[in-house]
Amino acid sequence: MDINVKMKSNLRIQAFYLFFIISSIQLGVGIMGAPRIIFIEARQDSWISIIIASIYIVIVLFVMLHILKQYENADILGIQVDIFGKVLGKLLGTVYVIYFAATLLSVLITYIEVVKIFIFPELSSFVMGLLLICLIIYSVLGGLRVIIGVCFLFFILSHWLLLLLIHPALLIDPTHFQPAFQASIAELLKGARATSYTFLGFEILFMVYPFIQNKEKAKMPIFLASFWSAALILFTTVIAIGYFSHEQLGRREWAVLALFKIQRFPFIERFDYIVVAEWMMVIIPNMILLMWGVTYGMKRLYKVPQKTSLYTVSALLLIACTFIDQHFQIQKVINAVEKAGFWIVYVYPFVLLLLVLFKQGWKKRKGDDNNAN
Amino acid sequence: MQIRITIIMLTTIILLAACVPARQLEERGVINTRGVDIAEDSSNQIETTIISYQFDAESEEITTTLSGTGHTIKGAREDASTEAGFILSPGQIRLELYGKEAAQKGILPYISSAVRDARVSDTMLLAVTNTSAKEILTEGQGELSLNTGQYLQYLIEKEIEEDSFPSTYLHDFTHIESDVGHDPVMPIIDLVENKPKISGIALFQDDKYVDEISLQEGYLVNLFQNTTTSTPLDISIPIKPFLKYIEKNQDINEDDELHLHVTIERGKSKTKMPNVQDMHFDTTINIDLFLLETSKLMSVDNEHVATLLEKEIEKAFTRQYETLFAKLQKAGTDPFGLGKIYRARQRDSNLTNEEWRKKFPDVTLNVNVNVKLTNYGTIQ
Amino acid sequence: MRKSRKSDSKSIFPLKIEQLKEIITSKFENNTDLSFSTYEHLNKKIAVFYIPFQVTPEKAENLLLKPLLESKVEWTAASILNEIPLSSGKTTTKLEVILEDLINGHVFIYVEDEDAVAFYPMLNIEKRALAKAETESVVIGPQVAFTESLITNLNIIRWRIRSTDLVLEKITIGKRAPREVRLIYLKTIANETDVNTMRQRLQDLEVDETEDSNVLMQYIEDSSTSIFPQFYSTELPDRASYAISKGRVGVLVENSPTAILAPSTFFSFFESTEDLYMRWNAGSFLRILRFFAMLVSVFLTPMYVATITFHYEIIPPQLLVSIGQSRAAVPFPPIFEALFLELMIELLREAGARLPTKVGQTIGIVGGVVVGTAAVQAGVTSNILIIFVTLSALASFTVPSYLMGTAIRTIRFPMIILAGILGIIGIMFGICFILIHLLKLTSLGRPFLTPIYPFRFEDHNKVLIRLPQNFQWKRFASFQPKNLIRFQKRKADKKKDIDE
Repeated sequence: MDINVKMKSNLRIQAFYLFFIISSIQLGVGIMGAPRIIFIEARQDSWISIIIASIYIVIVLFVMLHILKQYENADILGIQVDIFGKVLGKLLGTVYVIYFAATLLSVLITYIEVVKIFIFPELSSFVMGLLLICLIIYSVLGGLRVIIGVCFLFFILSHWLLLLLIHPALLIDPTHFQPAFQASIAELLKGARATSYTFLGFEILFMVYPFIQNKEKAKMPIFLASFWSAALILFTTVIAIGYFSHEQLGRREWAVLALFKIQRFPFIERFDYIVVAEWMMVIIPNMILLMWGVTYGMKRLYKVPQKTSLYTVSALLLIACTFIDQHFQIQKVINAVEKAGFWIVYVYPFVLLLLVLFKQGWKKRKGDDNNAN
Repeated sequence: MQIRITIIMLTTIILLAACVPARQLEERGVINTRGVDIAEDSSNQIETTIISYQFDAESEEITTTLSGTGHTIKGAREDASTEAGFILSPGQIRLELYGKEAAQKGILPYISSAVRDARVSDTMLLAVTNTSAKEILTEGQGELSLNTGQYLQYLIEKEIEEDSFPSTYLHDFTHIESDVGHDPVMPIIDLVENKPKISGIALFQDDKYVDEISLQEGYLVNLFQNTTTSTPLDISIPIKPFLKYIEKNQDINEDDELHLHVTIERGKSKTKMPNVQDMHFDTTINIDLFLLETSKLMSVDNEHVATLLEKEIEKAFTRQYETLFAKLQKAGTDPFGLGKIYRARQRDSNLTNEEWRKKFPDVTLNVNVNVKLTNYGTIQ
Repeated sequence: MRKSRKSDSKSIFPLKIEQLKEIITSKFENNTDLSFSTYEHLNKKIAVFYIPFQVTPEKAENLLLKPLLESKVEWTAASILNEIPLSSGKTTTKLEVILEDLINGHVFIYVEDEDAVAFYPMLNIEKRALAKAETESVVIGPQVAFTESLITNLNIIRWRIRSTDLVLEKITIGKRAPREVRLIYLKTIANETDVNTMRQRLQDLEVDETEDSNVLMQYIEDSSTSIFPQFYSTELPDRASYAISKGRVGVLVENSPTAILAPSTFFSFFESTEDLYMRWNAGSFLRILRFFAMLVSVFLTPMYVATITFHYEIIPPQLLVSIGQSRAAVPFPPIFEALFLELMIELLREAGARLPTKVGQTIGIVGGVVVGTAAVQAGVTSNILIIFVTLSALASFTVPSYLMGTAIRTIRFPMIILAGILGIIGIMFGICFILIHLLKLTSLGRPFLTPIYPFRFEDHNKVLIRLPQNFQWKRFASFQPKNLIRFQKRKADKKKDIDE
């Protein structure tokens, strides 16, 4: 397995699209329930938690970019093989792939649950899963170019939903944020940790990086994207805290969706229905990027044709989403993904950076020694 | 490839078509108004009265009234649906009426049932009835051409539009109810000559109906919390200071009151708590108003009269606020949301509703009203 | 691969006229149309042969036979070309050429024992006069449409683009019945890759025959299974020449009144040349209106079906009552009601298209007014749905491209079925599927959704809105024309203060 990826020029993408990749994978099902989860930990100071979390993510992104810069054109799978050797490196790569698949599953089942709660209680998980998986397969078959197109287009087509939040935003009660700065540092950090599932996904950067054409321009869109998703989560959380009383927010499962319930127009109302359906546009880019990560990872690691792994993983997902359909089972899956994601995404890059730098230094010294001899 | 995928997808979708049972509009009875009472037969069951749309080509009536009893609100709905040929659907409830007795016992169970069901709208109106909700909904129909539920809904919506009392949509009510140190209010519907009418404003302590205030006072409550615009209002002020400006040859008694009809173009309030320990609140209310009508003919032709009018209106408002606040303290309910301000000012405290109830009778409030007459119409 | 024609076949000349006659008639067995006449002139036998209805007989007699027989020149193949006052004469020695050009309307003259035969094109093409465009009719701007005659069409194009850069490459397609196809582009502007791709596709095409340019288009499109046309086919010469002058590639097919334009974007199907002739604000308004119409056409009926079947919650009560009452008498579920009405409208449209114009109009009125009213009165459909279905049918006809309009009308049916099965989720699935499909499509290798994706900011002044002509100093950058700049941007008007 090559450490660096040789990329055909027609597969390359502009760095500008990284913005859409990162922000559409970060904004997914998490944001629907995020305000409540953060609020439980940090109360009215949740906004501080979100800011802390987003600063931390910027640091992680810096670290990730720094790791990637040490190589000519490598992805995480290649780097791990380089650092840990073939067997351990591939094993860690497999962990990555499994983690992607698990995240994909968690997104899928959460969305199915939301659809069932808000629109069709009688809908079978199988049908809903089948629909979504069909869309995933169809777009992943188009390759990375189509996947990024889906991210880009669906990103634009789903952001009008923000306009519907103006009405609840006008009903904010400022006293809900007072007294400010009450949460202890520990609570704030807990709150920041609670955002981890919502913010997950930017690790896809480790996979798409070799595809970027103008890497020198990659920084800006990446940071803008993480800024944008942090801003949206901040925005929705602030509205949710201001709009719902503390007691209500503590109990509302999908607080953000409930915000859409009050908007009315003369010809249409109850936007929560439309929003839940429209949310499909938010999660599909999310899922196809993850699915691409899985298939591409399998190809890189074990030379499995992408089509084979695409169909296999889809079938497995379909089976899994049919059976995991109770609320607490779903929560369990999400928690597991969150825990794994916390270590893989938020902690591991630091370790990896140290190892990469160490290895580079070692290589250099060795090279110097050789030269000296 | 594409064809194959499309074919596979379409066939599976068609095969699995039966997964979501279709309930067309005309098979449903879309509930428009729901009344909640406690059944009279002392079984402590809930009795609901439902006005629902029925879409039937045969009958002239668009709506039908049903009632049922049960231990839960959904159970009662099921019971009611036994007398209907369609599925009662709660997705379009526009108005929920609580009978006096039910409201006094607390309405939280009914509200939480509405919130839990994702199908129920957050923009439904809530109101209390002076008798039982059933009576209003069935007997109130008498003279109305529109169905009672819709009529009441338009009525309440219009008043909220005019800012006559705080808005009582479900989402406002639940928000205020669950806020610490803030109590909700609701309009009271009463039957006057077999016609339903808003007779006053119900004060709630948490979710329990405890006392009642007049509609005029309802406006004061709203003005205290929100910015109001374009509200019509009647104000009474003593006639004495204006005697020389009033047109002669009207028989006037010195003790009479001068009644003014005004439109409050904009009313804004700000409440401060200068010192947390004192438990004292200062409220400044700024009102811009149009003078529309005076009960006696009078001319407002110089600045002096205008200032005098402003002064007297200010006094009248302050007086009304004082009586209202005394009443509220007596009833032990805080629709002004003073407790909210107290909680926001208080560091490191987890104020609970119970604590606030204990403190509330000792609170002092000073209301300072500034009135600006901006417009007198086309005559001076 | 198409094989190049054999050029090494041996000459059959010189030979006796009887022999020639025998050879040619044997090739035209059972074909009595061949006119083969022999004349004696200055002791030389001269044979003149042609297929009568392929040539103009008066021309042949006046211009060819008269000088041939009245002149005192001793005829040889070379002297015919020299002496007869006609241009475009040629000689050949090959039988294949003779046979082919006989069919193509040439008159052949053979002087006995010469080693070549001379021939003149005297073709008689039955063609109709130029007429107004029917399927893509416009209100303002040039009204003329292409005709079935390739020569006329080329002539129109040449007159519209009088540039030496204009290339009209000739390619022959079809093995059994070859047909002339012209690849048209501006060599200093059109992207070379596009031209090469198109030429390659045309040359690589190995079919027995192409019936029409619309058929040819389906052979050479990027995705032949897609419901959307990927090349624009137009009958308007101004549209074709506009596209060609902006660097796109055009294809004209013999005997076909439509030109193929490629590459095309999804959005170009909603553009009309009229938008250019109008003031920019009116043009932009019309263009946005068309996109809006497309959305209405695809989503109105499905939304009706979805809301009536599942989501009554999203209709405000006042509207709910009127819809509910009109639905009350209808015995079918909304999905069948909608499909029934949509099918009825399609029937009316189809009948109107097939029948003679006058009858078609009557049918339209009868169908629209009488059947519609009767259907409501009979309680088969609700009147609200009639409004929706008519609106969406109308909306679909605003699309300037007839092919795209048909595609949009067809998409409606699966959308209605999805809406009837899964409600709003089904509709959303449909939208996502169509969007992904559009993202996957390419037109001549270029993404179908550009300039939205891949995103090109500079092209957006000519897609959804059309900015004033002065702002359009660049060509469509997404297609990477060789020469991007149309004209030098006018120097910004000197900053002038008021009243100076």
